[in-house]
Amino acid sequence: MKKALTNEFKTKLWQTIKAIEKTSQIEVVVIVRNRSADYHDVSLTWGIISAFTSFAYVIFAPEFYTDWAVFCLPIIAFSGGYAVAHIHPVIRFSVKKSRLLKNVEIMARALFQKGGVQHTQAKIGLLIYCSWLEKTVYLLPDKGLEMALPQSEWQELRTEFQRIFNHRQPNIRLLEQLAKTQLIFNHYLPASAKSMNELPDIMEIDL
Amino acid sequence: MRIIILALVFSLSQSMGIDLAEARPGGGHSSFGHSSPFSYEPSSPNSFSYPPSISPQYGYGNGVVISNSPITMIFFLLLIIIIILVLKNQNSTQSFTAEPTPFNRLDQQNKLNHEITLLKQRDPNFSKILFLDFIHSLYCKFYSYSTQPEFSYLSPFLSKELQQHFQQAGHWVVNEIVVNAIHWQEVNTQDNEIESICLVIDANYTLHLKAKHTRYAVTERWLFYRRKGLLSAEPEKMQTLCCPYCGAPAHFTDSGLCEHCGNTVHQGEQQWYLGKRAVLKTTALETDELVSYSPEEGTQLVTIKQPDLDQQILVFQQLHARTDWHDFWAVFSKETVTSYFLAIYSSWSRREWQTVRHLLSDRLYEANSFWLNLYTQQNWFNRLDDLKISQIELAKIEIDRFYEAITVRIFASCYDYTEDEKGILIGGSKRRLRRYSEYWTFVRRIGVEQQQTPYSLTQCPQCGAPADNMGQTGECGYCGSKISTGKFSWVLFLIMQDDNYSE
Repeated sequence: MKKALTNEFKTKLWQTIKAIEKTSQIEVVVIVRNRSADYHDVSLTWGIISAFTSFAYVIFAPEFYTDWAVFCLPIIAFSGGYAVAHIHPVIRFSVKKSRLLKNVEIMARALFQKGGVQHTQAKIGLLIYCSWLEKTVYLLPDKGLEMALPQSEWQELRTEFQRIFNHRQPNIRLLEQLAKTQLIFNHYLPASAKSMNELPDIMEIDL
Repeated sequence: MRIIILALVFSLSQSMGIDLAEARPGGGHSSFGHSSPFSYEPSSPNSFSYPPSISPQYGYGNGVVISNSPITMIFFLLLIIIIILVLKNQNSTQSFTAEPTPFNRLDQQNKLNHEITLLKQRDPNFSKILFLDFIHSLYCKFYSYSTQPEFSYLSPFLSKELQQHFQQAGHWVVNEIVVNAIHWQEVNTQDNEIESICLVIDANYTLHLKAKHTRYAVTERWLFYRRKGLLSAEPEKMQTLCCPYCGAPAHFTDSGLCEHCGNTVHQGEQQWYLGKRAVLKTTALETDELVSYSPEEGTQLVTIKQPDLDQQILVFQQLHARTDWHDFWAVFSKETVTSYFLAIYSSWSRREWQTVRHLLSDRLYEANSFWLNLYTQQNWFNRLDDLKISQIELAKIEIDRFYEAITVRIFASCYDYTEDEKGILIGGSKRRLRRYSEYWTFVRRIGVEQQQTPYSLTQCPQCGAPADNMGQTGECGYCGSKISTGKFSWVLFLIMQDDNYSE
């Protein structure tokens, strides 16, 4: 994820958001996270399985191992298994999709609340939350905004945003997708001369 | 995580160590001769037994590791690297929230400057200094009148919606309102009917509710509108909230009728009015924050200079019929910047803020008075020993119809610490020199010329009487002139830290 968050990307992201907000009343907040949960249980499971397997191996293997090796290899295997279980594809393979999606939703709702996206008078805040590990984009509109767009439009937006992870460079696709939404939001919630950005430019979200 | 790594490294080193020891029992000769460690063949593929050639005669009852080849070591090393990388990567679980980069900020600043230029072209009376004075007055009144009947006095300066804003509020009282900073965020002159200015205000105030007092620090965004094509009012009508027709202090009915002249003032027809506001951040303040000595940020950064500074210098020279800028700068930097800087900080250290009242704008004086009062309540002194200026750089010159402003960056150093009346150290350091820099903006009314004789900081610049009788409002107790508006000499209008300053 770090590689994707270049200065160029950050600059373009801000410009794209401002372009949307200039032509519409909507207030967009984009948050990107490496993962939405820690999945410690997955790491522990992988560690225990690896430790047990290696222990069984050194006990029953045809080769001869010292006491130290018998002692150390399961620990090393545990650490290896624990570490391997931090690799994104391994986690995605190990965890049910419904659980991944649930974690993304929980994190998105927490960020929405903690970031104060709900603090717009007309309830027109939109959180676009990208979780890299889960390969999921979660759109969380505030009440006013949700009602301002037809449900079918939201469904299409969600599908389109989710597709960014089919691309090799999701960050670039995210910018493209964001730019596309400008027309949609402008259509349903056009900007007025008296609209003001009600959310801070820099959000301090401590989760 | 560190424990896992340590355990791994420890166990690995242990296993390697044992392997080597067992391979060199006789002082360097392998038990296996010159054969490969893998050359050992077990007696049976599925059995677990000591190799017949070594265990009994060497007395190593625990046997020998046979898998200590370089491939194994590489495997372990790779494993360690993977673990470290994965664990390091795991630390990057913080959120990235879209926010403006330095490039975005620069872009925004350029747009802002362009829009202000357009606004000034259409409205030659527009002065940023006067506008900020107006905002300051409105902000203070907005909160101090919030739950009082006097709130209706502000009706011409508030949208219909905001006039009802505090109707449902509890019976609180807000006072000690301090505006710390006002940041320009956006100016919009593109609409056909209205012009707008968006500002971000950092302030703090004390809220009294049911015998409880809480000090809040707030950041708010305020959006002002007015009808397009309007000319800004003259300074006297911008520096206070007053009727745009008769200039009398703001006494309006709910419908905007001036009780003095009987004219009705509609929002945005004669003056800017607050159309929208949003509270971006609110935190309760603690006294501890007085002695929080965070490291200086931005001192090493390059001075942010106005892009057309050279041109502005020429404009300044033309305005004052000067041929040599350097003559002015030498005098200004010595007699104004250096003298003010040392005098103001000296008064701050001694908690005698009143002695430099005539050198400060109203807003700066009030903001810092509040903090100094807190020091007084705690019986603390913020000492700035051995204060020295090392460099002064010109950053900006701004001239409008009523005011001229010069912003300089001052590099200084001192021993900055807080002690109580007995000399017990509360915060900071008496031994560590603190180097810092700040942007100071001095303003003066157009038409005031630099005096031939050095300006005495201890005298009223209007009547020459000792400056020992300056009221809270910056009026000389002898001649009655209001000194703090820059009408007679330079006054310090603004102090900005490096990390907050933008051109």
